[in-house]
Amino acid sequence: MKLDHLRYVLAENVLTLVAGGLLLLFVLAVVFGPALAPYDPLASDMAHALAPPSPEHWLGTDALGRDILSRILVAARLDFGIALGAVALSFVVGVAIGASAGYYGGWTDRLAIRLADTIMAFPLFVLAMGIVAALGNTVANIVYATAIINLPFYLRVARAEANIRRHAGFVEAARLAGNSDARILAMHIFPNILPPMMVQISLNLGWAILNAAGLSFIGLGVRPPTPEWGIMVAEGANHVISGEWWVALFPGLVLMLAVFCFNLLGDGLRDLVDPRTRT
Amino acid sequence: MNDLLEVRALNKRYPVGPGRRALHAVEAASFTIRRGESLGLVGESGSGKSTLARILARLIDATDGSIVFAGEELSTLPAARVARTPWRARIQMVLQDPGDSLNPRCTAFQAIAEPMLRLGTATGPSSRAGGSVAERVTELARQVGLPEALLGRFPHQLSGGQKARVGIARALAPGPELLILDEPTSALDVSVQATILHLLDRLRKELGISYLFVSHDLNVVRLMCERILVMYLGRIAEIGPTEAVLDAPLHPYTQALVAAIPGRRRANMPHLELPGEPMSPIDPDPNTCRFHGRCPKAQALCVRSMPLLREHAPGHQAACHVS
Repeated sequence: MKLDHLRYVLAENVLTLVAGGLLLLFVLAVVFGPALAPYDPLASDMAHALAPPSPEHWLGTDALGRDILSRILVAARLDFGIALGAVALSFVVGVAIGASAGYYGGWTDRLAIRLADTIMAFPLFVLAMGIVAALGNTVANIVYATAIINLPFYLRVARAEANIRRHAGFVEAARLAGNSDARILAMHIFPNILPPMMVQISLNLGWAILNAAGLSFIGLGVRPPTPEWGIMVAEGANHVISGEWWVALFPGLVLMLAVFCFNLLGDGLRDLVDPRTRT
Repeated sequence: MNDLLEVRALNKRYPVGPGRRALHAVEAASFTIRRGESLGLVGESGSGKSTLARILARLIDATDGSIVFAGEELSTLPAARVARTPWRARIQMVLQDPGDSLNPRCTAFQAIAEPMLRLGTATGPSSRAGGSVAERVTELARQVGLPEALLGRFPHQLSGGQKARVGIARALAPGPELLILDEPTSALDVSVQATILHLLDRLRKELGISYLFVSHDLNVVRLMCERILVMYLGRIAEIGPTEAVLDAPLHPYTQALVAAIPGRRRANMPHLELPGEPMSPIDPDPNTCRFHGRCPKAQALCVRSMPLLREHAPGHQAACHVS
């Protein structure tokens, strides 16, 4: 029944199928990236520096003669890891705070909303820059910073969805069935706010990847020579004017495809987890 | 005493706005429900009947007053703690909208099984076979006329009547002694209403449980209930045996209600128009009859003194100076 439903959703929505295919490619790169890379992503070869795309180097080489395809493939694991970690963190914390706020109301609610408003009051990317600059330039801190700036979105969606359900008949019925408030939240409200959250997760994954790459681009994220899409775009940017377009273009293109893929996936995911579209 | 439930001087006030202003949702409610009896609770929107039903279902707390259930004081136990006590199984409720009251992500089976699993009543005295939860769910489905094949379905795959049956089976699952029904058929098609009402009537007689039947439809109450309690703006206007209340209403409000039943207008019961608006339930004058301002029979006394329930015939009480 589940598989049939998956097929039904995909057949209804060709774009989801495209996004799913893209995701599969990315997942392959994440899992097998280092094995698939034809060259060592860190090995420089000054004899072939800034070589254009050719049969030896499909996507060309950068200023140090490193193979761009290899670097893109290897970087997938890091970029997706940061995005997934950040989104998982802000999802868990955001849903816990937001759903409790929406369900209990009162001062819990006011406190949660002020927290979200406070974070939202900053330009989010600047806030992330500030957090990384203050805490230090490590992968863990990029994850925390990205999680913190994503938090308000989860918090607000979870709060709104829990709030409209707090007086729903099935919540009252759950109470009559002997459930405590905590259990009602976890077993009855949470599964019902999951579909709208799924869309948020998917959109945010793309945004989180862009954010992590952005931090690296301005030099606040992952440090060279680690392969990372944002750094690669930053390194390539210097060479665009002099005609070596491939250095910045290919990592940028991959970055764009990743964001595109998650944005498309959002709608498909919602159809998949919403039981009302189940046949 | 064969009283299952005795309510005495029950009040529910909600604080509103600044200061000490309060909305009087239920005021000085006193009545009893006997074992195996069905008591109808009627009144217009805002009369406090749903609030009263929720207090008795122990979903919300009363401000003050006493609720004695099967000889034990229940009002001292906060509603938030009831979930973990045996009381939860003994008082159950069928909610108003069967569509809204089923978790969209739970199958009919899960919905019916949950109260038994949570309350641990699957092997309780109500289950004759003492069998597994699955057996008990099947037995309940059969009792409420829900085909067994539908137990695996989600609410959106069920019709309104089927959802209503799931709601009833779920409420019966823990083996309650008092079942509170909050307008259980108001969200259903008329054709389905009648079958559900007959089902409820049959179940009460089979299982010997008591009903508090909340409704605004006097025809439904006449069919389902032995006694009727009429509420107006949080206060009990009249209470008595169904025939007595509907055929010889004492309170002017009940008279207007009865006169408004479609197709039941008779020569000896003139149509009564109720002019004006109900008074505000926020801090109403404690010495004025709540019905004052709309009452066609109001006298000077009605402004100065709140009428209390008086017995006019055995078991038939009304709160009116004029009647």
